[in-house]
Order: sequence, then structure tokens, then C-alpha cells
Amino acid sequence: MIIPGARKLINRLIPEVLDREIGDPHIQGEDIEVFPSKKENFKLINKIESPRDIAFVDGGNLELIGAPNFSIQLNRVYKAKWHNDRRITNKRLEFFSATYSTSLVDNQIQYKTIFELDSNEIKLRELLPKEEDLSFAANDRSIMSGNQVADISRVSSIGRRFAEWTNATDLIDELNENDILMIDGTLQSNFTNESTYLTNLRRKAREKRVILCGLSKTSSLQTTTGLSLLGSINRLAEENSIEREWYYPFAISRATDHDVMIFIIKLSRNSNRIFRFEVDRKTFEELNDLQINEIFSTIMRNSNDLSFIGYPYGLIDADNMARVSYDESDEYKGIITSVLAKSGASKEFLRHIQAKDAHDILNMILK
Amino acid sequence: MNNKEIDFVGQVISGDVAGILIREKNVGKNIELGDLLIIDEDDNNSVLLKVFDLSFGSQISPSNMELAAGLSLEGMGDEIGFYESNLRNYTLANAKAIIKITKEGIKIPKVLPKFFSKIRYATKEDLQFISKPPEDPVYLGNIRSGSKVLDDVPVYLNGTDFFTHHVLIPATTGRGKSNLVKTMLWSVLKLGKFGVLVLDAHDEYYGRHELGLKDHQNAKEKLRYYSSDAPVGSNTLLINIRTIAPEHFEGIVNFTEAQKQAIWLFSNTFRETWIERIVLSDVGEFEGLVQDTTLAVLQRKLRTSLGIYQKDGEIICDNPVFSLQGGESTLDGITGHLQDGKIVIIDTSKLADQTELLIGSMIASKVFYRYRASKGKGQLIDNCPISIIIEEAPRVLSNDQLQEAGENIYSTIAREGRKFKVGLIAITQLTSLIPKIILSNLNTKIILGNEMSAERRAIIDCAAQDLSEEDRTIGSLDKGEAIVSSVFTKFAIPIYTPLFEDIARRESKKDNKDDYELKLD
Amino acid sequence: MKNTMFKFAHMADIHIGAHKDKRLIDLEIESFNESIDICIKEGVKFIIIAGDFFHEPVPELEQVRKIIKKLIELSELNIPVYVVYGSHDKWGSGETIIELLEAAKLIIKIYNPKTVDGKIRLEMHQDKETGVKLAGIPGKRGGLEIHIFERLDREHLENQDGLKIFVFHSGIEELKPDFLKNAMDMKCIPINLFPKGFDYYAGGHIHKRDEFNIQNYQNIIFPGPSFIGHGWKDYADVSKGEKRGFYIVSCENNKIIDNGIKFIEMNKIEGKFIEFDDVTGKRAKQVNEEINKKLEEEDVDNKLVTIRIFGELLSGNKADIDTSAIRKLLTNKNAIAPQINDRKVTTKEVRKIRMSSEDKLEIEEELFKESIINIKPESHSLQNEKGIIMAKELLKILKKSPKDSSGKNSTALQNKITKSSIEILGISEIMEE
Repeated sequence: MIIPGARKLINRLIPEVLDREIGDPHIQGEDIEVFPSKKENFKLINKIESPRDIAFVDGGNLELIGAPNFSIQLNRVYKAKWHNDRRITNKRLEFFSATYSTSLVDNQIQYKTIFELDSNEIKLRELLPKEEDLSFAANDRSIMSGNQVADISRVSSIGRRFAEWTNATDLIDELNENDILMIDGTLQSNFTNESTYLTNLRRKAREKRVILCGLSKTSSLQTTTGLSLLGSINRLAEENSIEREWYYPFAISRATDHDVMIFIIKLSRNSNRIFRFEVDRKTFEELNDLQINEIFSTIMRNSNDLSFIGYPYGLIDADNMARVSYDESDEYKGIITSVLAKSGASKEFLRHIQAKDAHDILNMILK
Repeated sequence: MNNKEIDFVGQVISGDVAGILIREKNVGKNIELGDLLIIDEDDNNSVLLKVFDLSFGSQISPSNMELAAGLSLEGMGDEIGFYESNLRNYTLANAKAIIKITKEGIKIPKVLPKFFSKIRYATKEDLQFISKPPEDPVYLGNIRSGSKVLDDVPVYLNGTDFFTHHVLIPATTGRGKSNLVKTMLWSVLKLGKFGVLVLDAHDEYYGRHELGLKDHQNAKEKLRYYSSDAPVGSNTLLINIRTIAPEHFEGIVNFTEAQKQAIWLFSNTFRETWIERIVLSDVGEFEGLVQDTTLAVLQRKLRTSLGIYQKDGEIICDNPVFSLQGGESTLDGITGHLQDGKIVIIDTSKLADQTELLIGSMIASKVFYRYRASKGKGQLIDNCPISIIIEEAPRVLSNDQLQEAGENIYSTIAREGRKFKVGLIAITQLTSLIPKIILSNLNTKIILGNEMSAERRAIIDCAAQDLSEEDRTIGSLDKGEAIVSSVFTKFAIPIYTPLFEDIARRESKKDNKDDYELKLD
Repeated sequence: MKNTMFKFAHMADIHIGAHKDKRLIDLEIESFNESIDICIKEGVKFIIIAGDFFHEPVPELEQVRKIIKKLIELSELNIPVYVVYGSHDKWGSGETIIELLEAAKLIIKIYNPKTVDGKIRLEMHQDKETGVKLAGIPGKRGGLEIHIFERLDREHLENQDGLKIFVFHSGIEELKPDFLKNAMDMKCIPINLFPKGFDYYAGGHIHKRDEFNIQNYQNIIFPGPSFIGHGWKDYADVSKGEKRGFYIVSCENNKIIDNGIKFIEMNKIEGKFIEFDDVTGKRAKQVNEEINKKLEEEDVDNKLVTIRIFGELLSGNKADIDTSAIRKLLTNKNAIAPQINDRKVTTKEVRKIRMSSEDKLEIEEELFKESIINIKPESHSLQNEKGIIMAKELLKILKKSPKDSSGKNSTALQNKITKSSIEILGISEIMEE
């Protein structure tokens, strides 16, 4: 009964997708220069041997216990160094974070975040962001969702993001000149105080001449004709029979907190996947064509794993190692709960938790 | 020894009492079915595990793996593969904790080993508790871990327990059953304390033309060989017909009730000449006592089983074994040898099936009843335990045979022999045919490879230990490999029996001269 | 080869000197003389004695003298007597009467071995008149002749042509009689150690007459003792009426003729076998009375009498059965050498040593066998079977009295005993040092 309806809907949608021109990339923001879409922008990647190592950083987090006024999370940040398809080193940092709301300041709820590790090692504690950098007013636009006050668990997860920057910065010490450091996502700060961390990272990378870059799994960028940017560039490549691996610069951003060259890249001819890629602009502009090719070749050589052809395996690995699964969360939840119980404060905490866990109970009933 | 020096092969990652899941270390390690592994809990305690199943483990989804295989097979995607394949694809071994080894001794483990424990191969030091020979040790082979043999960990069982509590050797053809039996008998010859009767249907134990038991240093003293075609120096198998009693046919030759009654009548009337009298009887001679048809059938059956018939009023013996001349003391002689702790091989390779069983029945009966009488007189303690090796045991021990022909001496020995120090070693390809009540009396099972799942099931069901997980292992046993499951072992021990020829070559008497200084005068 | 008809005689286990009773001694010689007379009358061309001609290597000279007289008669008639040793008429390395007789050319030993290529080759002796070829292997104590059989060059013997006779003094494993079925210590020779294809196998040692024809071995003959034999069983068998004698074999054209093997009975003595098997539940005194009463009624005059008593007495001791009185009673009634066996009389208290045999020698053997397992000497010759044989031989020597006929200790006899003992122990060289 729903099939005719679906058929009619699709028939109406098809012209809106198929029958449009590709258009040019459309990105909003100051200091962004966009290149028109043309086949000449495609640069083929030639596979070459390279001594460069490539490092990856990614993080993951999951709320263990939440209430409207606090959120306790388990966070992980993982970093690893690779040479082609071989992992050389890897480390994982795991820490708890708790974000809580305070009494009103300037008529606004404040959110503060604290971090704790098992270890008391100073070196490890230095890998965590500063707690004071994670204080936000509830009406901080960088944390709000639209006009809604930010959910406290979302605020709590920002700590993990900052920790990725600090760990990436630390990782540069293990890299050599011309090595590559890849972050999952963009090299753009979104939250208050985040830019400090990003700036530190960028500076250190430039000093050491490490190529700082970011790869986004997804992109919602569009073209001037309302099509998705990635889809359009893919179509352009196909129309021009560009079958090998390529990189396609489509914009430069010169904003202070987002100073990057932006590309779309295809890392395997055996896959249709293409991704948004950005690299620190200053470092990039100092490279010649051969060096640029070498960088992309290095990334390409890490992107041939069958589990996700065309996507750097280092990022798959980092995502896997940084992820906190729901299965694990139960164990940690249990630990937190038992510590709470021993402290004698669980009754008080429960009072607040119950404001939020009705969904969970319903889910259990309906299972 | 710290962790870095020990060569670990895997790590416990999950499981339960029925099976502990181990991830195998990829580089250079290949855990095998039947491998014996050790978890060291601390300096004084360790747990011995045995692998019963292997499977693939992977971090990669099946669809991706299928894709990879397809690309490889079709010759596409040269550069595409799996990064860190060793890390993401691995073998999972399912193992069972079988023994806890402590300073005080060995115990059945009652708790799971520590989670994430590292695992290594068992070494001879771990298995010292097995290699210590018991009293009167009968050698079966060396400990085997997977396909690796620990040459300096021999496996023995106490001879008295082994022989008197019966043995089952289930094996299909070509799995090394003869080699196992020969090796075992070689060690028995060393002891000289156990009588073993071997009904040798293939003439493979003595060693007429090749290395055999005759080459043992103690052979002259402790081995006797009987054959209808005996090589010089060994005994010609000759049995006087007058030493055959009606009960020797029980369960071997099928007689109807009427025939049985006729036999008993002749036996009671004519005593030891009962067979001759039946054979020589004419039609109508015993009218009113025995029907002519019954007599005729009896004559025919005696001709079939003994090769004896009459011609022109004379008894003719076609069968080279049975005779009216000589052989009066053969059965007693054989029984005496067995009682004296000798191995007696009866070459039945040239004899019909039924004749072989009949001869075996005659000797077995003599042994059993003599020992039973000994017990009655309180003299059993002085007697050497005696065991009888019967091949293709279902011929006499199967459900069908027992129901059709009734109990026979072999089934009697299987049920009661233990009380009188008389045992049975039953060799069979078809364990499922033997009734459970008999199987349960065969307290040691030396299980060789068997590709028939129904047979494996039957073996597993009657084993002394829980072998429910060993089905695959048994199916994959190679020639010479076996599992010893016995009430006298703490766990089912995987063994490998070395080639008999190698042992015999190494240990045989150096020359044929005996140490008797012969004076020719 | 001469194609004539002829006969030969085959006897064995004569055991001259086995008896102590004067009447038996006389009857024994009489029996031998009569058997020789029969042979002469039948016209035998030669006589085979398959071992144990004499009961001891050096028997009483008076008996030997009488035998020699008969042998001289045979010699004068050119009737050779072919002999192999048995287990009684030679043991150890001392002199024997057989050697003396051979030296006097009254008998011919047909065991002529020599070693060729590690095997024992028997030279066949050919009878001058008939051309018959004979070879033989002697019996030895403990069946040790098996070592000769094992090394025998059978092929050499089998390849001989003509009418061949193989003479031996051993039990054959496959042909052991029923009464020896439990005698595990009696070493017998497996049949296939004998050379095949002989025309006649002249056996001895088994004290039961038997004839066998089996594949590859025709005419295996055990004549049994020609008189009584020796020991309880032989006495009992004769008492029960078992026939003693020897064989005369007729040959023609190089073959033994059909039905040509004839047993000649020698019934020199009548016997009486009396069993008392109902002592169970009775007291010894009552048993004595009943036995005496029964024996009073029996006619035992000039008869060889053997008595067996068995059962479990209600009380008392086996020794309470007055066997002396029984013997005396029988002797008074003129019974010959009465034998009384009460070994199977038991009382509830007595169950110490199990004796399955009733013969004195076999009892000794069993006692040695039971004891030797507790001794662990280093020397091989003192271990197991060899040890038992040595012990028995020593005991036999040491039983001999060093006293002469006047009852005085004789140095010569003592020296002889000592010398024989040293030889048995195999320490002659050590003693000389």
C-alpha cells in the first residue's frame, strides 16, 4: 500500500537530483576562496615510495550516568603511527569526565567539567585539556543547539574533542619532518576556547614541518545548484573518465582558526568513495608538486584495506580503538555506581538521574 | 621465568567450563586439535587444557572477507588486502581445562582459569605426573600434543589394572591398531608377569618374516607361538578332538534347542568321545532319543566347524588343527603358559572364522574356569593376570550375536572376568554393535582414529571421561595417534605410539645365540 | 640298499636298577632277558633302546653283570643294539655304564654330532646288514636336549635316502599325553624341530605307550617302559593293568610294511590297585581300621600293589594314618613292593603346600621351584630352571651313602661324592686352584 506512494515520491524527486548542472562549490564563511568546478582541477595521484610516516588521532566517548545537572562520561583518545600498511606505535588514553551545572551566574546556568585518570602520572595528566577551558555558560552559542540550551551530555563530550587536540600536539614529538598527522574531521574549532588548542597544534606542526591534515567521513557541503558537493565532483570525474586516484582542490580558507587548503580526494580506484580533506595551508604552500603527490600517495597507500577501500586504515583503526561501545559502558557504569554507593551519595544522585531515565525504562519494558 | 622468556601461544579471551576460548598468537604458532596447553596460575599451580575445537576469528565482516577472496581469485585488486592481517584474522581455539597441577598433586579443576591468562604449550616438566611409571608398567606410547610427540614423556598403565579391567580398542582399518598392540605386547614381554592370549587373524604379531615379538630378548622364555604351519622351533597347533567340550561351542556355533539336547545326551553318554560318536552315528541308530534330522544337522555343523566327518566308518579330519592323534594337552599347555605369564600367539590366519573363535573359546573357557576354581580355593592371588585379545569383537560380543547365539565365554569374561583376574582386550571397528553393559565393563579405551560419526558417538558415550567435545579430535586422529580414556587415568591422554619396528630394532636381541653352553657329548 | 625283509625291535625306559625290592629286581632282569629272547626268536636284525636303559649312570654291578650276559648273547648273534642316552642313564660328566658297554662293543651309541657352520650335524649310522640309517638325540635332564634340536641341521638328515630311523628320548610338545598336561616344567620338543620324512621315530621318555601319524611325521612310536618303569604313577598304571612291552617292526623293500608295527606285551607282573576315597569326615583311627579290614580280604599274593588314600579327615593328622602298618600287612600277605600314596589326604589345618604331583621326584622339583623364586644368585647357572636342575642333581649325589657294604665310611665313596658334587657345581677349576 505504501509502494505507490513511494514510487510517486521518487518520481518527483528524480528530476531535482538528476537534471541539474553540477555547479560550483558553495561554502559560507569569511576568507574563503572557492574554485569553480572543472575537470582541470583533478590531479592524479601517482603512487611512489616514500619514507614518510603517517599518524592518526581519534577520540570517542560515551555517557555512563546522566542527569539534567551532571553527566559522567568515559573518554578515549587514541593515537597511532603507521608506515604504509604497518603500525609502528600506538597509545590510548582513557579518562573519566564529569560535567555539572552550577548555580546561576549572571542569571545563567554554568557548566563546568572535571577530568580524572587512574594514573597520577603528571605526563599523562598533561595530555588532558585544562578543566577551566571547559567552562561554559548555558547560553554559549558554540554549545547551543539552535535556540535550545545545550544538553549537558553534549557539553561533556567537548572535553574529548579538546583532548584529541592535546594528544595530537603531543604526538608531533614522535614525528619527523615531512611526516603526516591526520585528524578525523576538519581542522576547524567550533567551541569556545577550542581555538587555543588548535592554534597550539598548528604552530607545533609548522615548527616541525609536520603536515597537519584532517579527513571527514561525511560532508554536507553543497554546490551552487543545490547538489551535494561530493556527489557532483564524483559525477564530474566520471563524466571525464578519471578513473585513477585523484585529489581535487576546491577551496582555500584563510580564517585565523581555519587556515587550510580544502580538497576532495579519491584514494582508491577500486572504490567510489571520495572524502573531504583539508591540510594546513601554510605548510602546504611550501610544498612542490612532487611533494604534494608524495603526501597524497602516502595517504593512498594506507587506504587499501578491504574493510573500507579508499578510506585510510589508520582512521578505521583509530576509530575502533577510541570507540566506547555500549557493551563496555555497562561495566564502567557499574563501577561508577558502586563507587557512588560506597560514598553514601547514591540516593542523592538517583534523585536527579530519575529526571532523565524514563526513556531507558520504557525501552526496557518494550524490549 | 618472566613473560618475555616464555613462548606463549595464545591468550584466554572468553568461554565457560565447557570450553575456554583462546586466541592464538599468530606469528609462528599453530595450535592444533588435541594440543595440550598450560596456564600458569602461579609458581605452584597450573592448569592443563586440551584443545577440542578450532575456528576462525576475525575483526572483519564476512562480506568483506568474501569480497577479498573474490578479488584475489579473480586476479583483481593487487594492492588491496587486509592491513595487519595477523591482528585482525586469527585462530580461536576452544579448549577444556582437564587437570589442575599443584605441588600436592593433580586435581580435577573446579574453577575457571584467570581471564586473559596467557597460554603456552605443555612441556615434559608439566607432564611429569604422567611419565612416572606405575608398578608393572605397560607401555602404550608417548604423550602427544596435537601432532607433536613428547618423546620423553612415555605413557604407562599399571599392568594388573589394565589387563584385568578389560580394554577396548576401537579403530578403523589403517589407523595403527596392530602397531599399538605389538608395542604394548613388547613391553609386556619385558615384564613377563602377564599372560596374554593373542588370536592372530593376520599372523602379524610373531614376525615370521619380519621384525616381530619373536625378536624380543625375553621371547625364548616368555613367548609361545602356535600355528598349523609352525616355523621351526615354535609349536604346531594341534588339538585333540576329545578335548573339545560342548560348552566350547556356546555362543560360537548356533544350535537349536533340539541340537543342544542331543549334544548333551552324547556328551553325558560317551564322555570325551561324544564328537566321534555323533560323526560316526548312522541314521536311526538313536531312534527315540535323537531325531535323524537333528543328527544329520549336527554332523554337518561339526564338519563345518571342525572339519571332521566320517568316510567308510573312519573319522577323517580335514582341518589341520583338529585331530584324533596327539594334541591332548595342547589346551592345558597353552593355559599353563598363560598362567606362567607368557604371551601365547595362536596363528589363526589360515583358519576359518568359526574355527578361530572356537579355538579361542576353548582356551578362554579353560583359563576362566581354572581361575575361577583357583579363587574358590583361595589361590587366585598367586596367579598371573591373563588377558585375551579378540579382534573384530562384535563377532562374539555384538547385541545380535548374543541374542541369536546366546552368551559365550567372551561375554562372560567381559562381565565377570575381573573378579578372577581374567581380562579381555576387544578390538573393533564397530563399537556401536557392542551392548552398553559390556562396553561399560571395558574400563580402558584406547581410541584410534575413526571417521564414522556414529561409531565415534558410541565410543564417546562409553568413555571413562567426558569426551563429548572430542568428536572432531577423534575424527582427525592420524595413524599411530590415539586417546587413552581409562578409569585409571585422571584425564583422557592423547598418545602417539612409535613405530614398532623402530622399537624392536633398537631393543631386539642382538644375535640368535642363547647363553646355554651346549655340550655335544 | 638291501631289499630284504627284516625286522627290528624298539624298546625304551627299561630302567634297570630302578627297584629296591628283590623280587622286582629279579623280575626286571627276567623281563629284559625275555624281551631279548623274543627279539631273537622273531629274528630281529637290530634292537633300538631309546634311552633310560639303566636307571642310573652307574647302577649296581650285579644287575649290570646280568645284562651284559644277555648283550653278549646278542653280540654273538650279530644283532647290534643301538642306544641313545636317556635322562637317567647319564647326567653330569661322570663315567657311565653305557660308555663301558660301548667300549666293550656290546652296544652302539648312535648320537654322533659335529658342528658344521654353526649347526649340529648328526652323522647317520648305517646298519651293516639291513642298510637302515639311524640317527639319534639323547635325552638330558630338564629337557635340555631342546638346545640340540634347535641347532640341528635338519636338512642334512632329511636329504638322506633309504630307510631312516630317528631315535630320541624326549616328549613331543604337540603329542604330550593327557597325564602330562599340567606338567609345565616338563620340557618337550616342538614337533617341527624333528627332521621330517623319516620312516620311523623311535621314542622314549614318555611312560605311556602311544602311536602317532601326523603330517610329515609318520610312525612316531612311544613304547612306554618295557617292565614297570619307576615312580608312583608307573606302579599305579601297572597295578591298574596297563600293559608294558616293546615293539617289533617289520620292513620290506626299504619301507615299513602296512600293519608292520606290532606291540609285544610283557606281562611279568600282576598288579592290584586299591583306592580308599571315602576318608572324608572320618577320624584317622577309623580309617586305619577300615583299610586294614578291606586289605585283609584282598588277594595280593605276588602282586604289585598300589594303594591310594584321599579325602579330608575330620580331625587329626595325615601322619595318624598308619601307612607302616598297612605296608607291613601287605608284605605279610606277600604283596610285591607295596606303594602307598596318601598325599591327597588333608585335614582342615593342613593347606600349606599344594602338590599337584604324586611322584617323589616331581614333588622335589615343585618344592625347589617354589623356593628358588626367593633366591637371587648372581650366577646364571644357579637361577631359575638351571638352578633347579643343579639342585636336583646335587641332592641325588648327596643322598648316596658314603658307607660301604660293611656299613663303614668309605673314603673312596666319599671322594666320589665330592668329585661329582664339584662337577655338578661347575667349580672344578676353582677347586684345582
